[in-house]
Amino acid sequence: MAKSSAKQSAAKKSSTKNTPKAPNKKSKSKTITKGYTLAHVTHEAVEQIGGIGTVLEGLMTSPQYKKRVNRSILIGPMGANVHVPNPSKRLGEMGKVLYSSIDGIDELGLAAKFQPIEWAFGVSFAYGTRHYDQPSQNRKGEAEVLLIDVTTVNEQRTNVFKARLWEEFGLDSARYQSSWDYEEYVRIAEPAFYALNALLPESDFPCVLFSHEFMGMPAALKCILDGGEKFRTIYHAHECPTARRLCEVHPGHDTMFYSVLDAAKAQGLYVEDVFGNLDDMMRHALVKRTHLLDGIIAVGDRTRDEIKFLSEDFDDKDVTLVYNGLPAHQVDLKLKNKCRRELQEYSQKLLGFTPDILMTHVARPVISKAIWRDLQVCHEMEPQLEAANQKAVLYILTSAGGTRSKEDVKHMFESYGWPLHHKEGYPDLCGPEIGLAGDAAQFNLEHKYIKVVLVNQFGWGTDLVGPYCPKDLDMSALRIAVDVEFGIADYEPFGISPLEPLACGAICVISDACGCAGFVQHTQAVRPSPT
Amino acid sequence: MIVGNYSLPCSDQPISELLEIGAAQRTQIELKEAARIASQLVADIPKTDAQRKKLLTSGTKLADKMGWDQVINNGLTKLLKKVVR
Repeated sequence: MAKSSAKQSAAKKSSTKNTPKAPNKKSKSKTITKGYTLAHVTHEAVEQIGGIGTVLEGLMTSPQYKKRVNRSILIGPMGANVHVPNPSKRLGEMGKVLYSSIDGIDELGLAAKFQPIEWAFGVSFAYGTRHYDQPSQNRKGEAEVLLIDVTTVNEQRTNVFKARLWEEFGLDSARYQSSWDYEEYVRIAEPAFYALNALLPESDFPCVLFSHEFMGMPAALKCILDGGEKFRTIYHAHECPTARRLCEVHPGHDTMFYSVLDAAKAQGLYVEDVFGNLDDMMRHALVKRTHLLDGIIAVGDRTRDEIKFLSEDFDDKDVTLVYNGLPAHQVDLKLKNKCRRELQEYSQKLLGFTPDILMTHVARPVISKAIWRDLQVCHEMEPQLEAANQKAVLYILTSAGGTRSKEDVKHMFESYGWPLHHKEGYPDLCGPEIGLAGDAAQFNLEHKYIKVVLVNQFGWGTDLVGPYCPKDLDMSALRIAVDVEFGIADYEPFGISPLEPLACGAICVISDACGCAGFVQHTQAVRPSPT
Repeated sequence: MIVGNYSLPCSDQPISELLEIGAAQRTQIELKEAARIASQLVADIPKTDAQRKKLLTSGTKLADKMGWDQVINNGLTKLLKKVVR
């Protein structure tokens, strides 16, 4: 097909309801009695980096999930795991390797099935199982894992696949050549598809392939192209990348974006009608094609609106709300008071007074967490606390520099009273921590009854925040101790962290941008907020 | 739980004007919400064991309805049934 006509055809396919569909699978219905086979394409197959890992852990350890799902196969790039010196760790700390062509391991006799795929695509597979353990929840789970090393692929085959993505879906891979995020998941798509075909007996089909965020989209599109009756596809929107970018980069943040979204929705307009073409953004280009999949999951009400806002192709598409689950905590008043006393004791040593009100904000140091809003609220609390003769502290627990070592913590504490005081440069302040520390210091100069402490650390405990911290006051105890947890983000598709202390008797302060707000509202009528 | 409202409620403003919302207008809304949230917080933060126990009980009761098992039963399973039929 000539390029110009292909482009016309593709443009038509990607922007109208004439998009190619998978064969009509409903015509040959099949009752599933044995349990589902689910494949999850994700960058968090073997290690927990962010929210998707938490979601997978919640799913895999749930008795309800285990009751309904026969096989769960996590698929992701091998990435840095290709370099681990110990082959038994190829699938991470919780993994058990059953097949690895790099290491010559084949405990299940899979080589005859896997090697032709590896040779054809120039990739290496590591396959096995991984364990999930949630001791605090008394839950365990297990999943199969397939990691694919795509660093030296057969480029000719990859280019043929990219050409098909262009011809069938109008997806212009050439535009995203320089994005490894894009390239890596395009390279994974076909080997993953054929590996699943090799791995699963006929009785385990159909396989439902989940694209967690944009990462699984090339594999899902491959399933639509060639999967026939054997595959179904679901897009799991842990966020809408288009909305995230528009929210984060615009100075009006959520105030602008959601006001525009609501007004545009009422007028039947879509995101590119308002903001112009956004195809420069690879993630947008992939996510706006998710209407082609058999199902879409959104983790929150706002995310569902954002997906529907992508184009008219989503008008008739059901976007199913599947919120994230919350971990269960069994906390009684005795334990709550014990943890409160310990945090008060720590605060007294650090600040020189015993706060009546204990507040925290546990978050990544990114703009979407809108940490400045915490300070605005604290500023407004000051005169009220003065009138009541009460004092409060807010601990902002965030890290742009990973976990500071025990030795670094000791040195910073003894040298200049970290974490109440800071210095620029690692192991102390780095990146966005610098601005946050400056804001906290300025706030503390201007306020007497409420103090803000930036704890630029990952985790909590004596070794992590210094010798003032009682030995029992770990991260879990910190969550139990607090009276208030902040999470007033300007973009937050769900937000498990701000809701975690809910079951510990804390007041959680969130924003209307948070997906978890809808979950609470649906679960129980929430106190109405005047607008 | 306290929810801060930072977007404009069903505005009659044209979209072109809404797109012009910048840092100044956002900050204005943030400050208004900060005052409301602060007052609500100071009023609601438990001061006695009895108040603390009440919040613990209501929080636990709510969180118990928001676990993974409920999420899977109410959302995921229904979608899987629909997709694989």
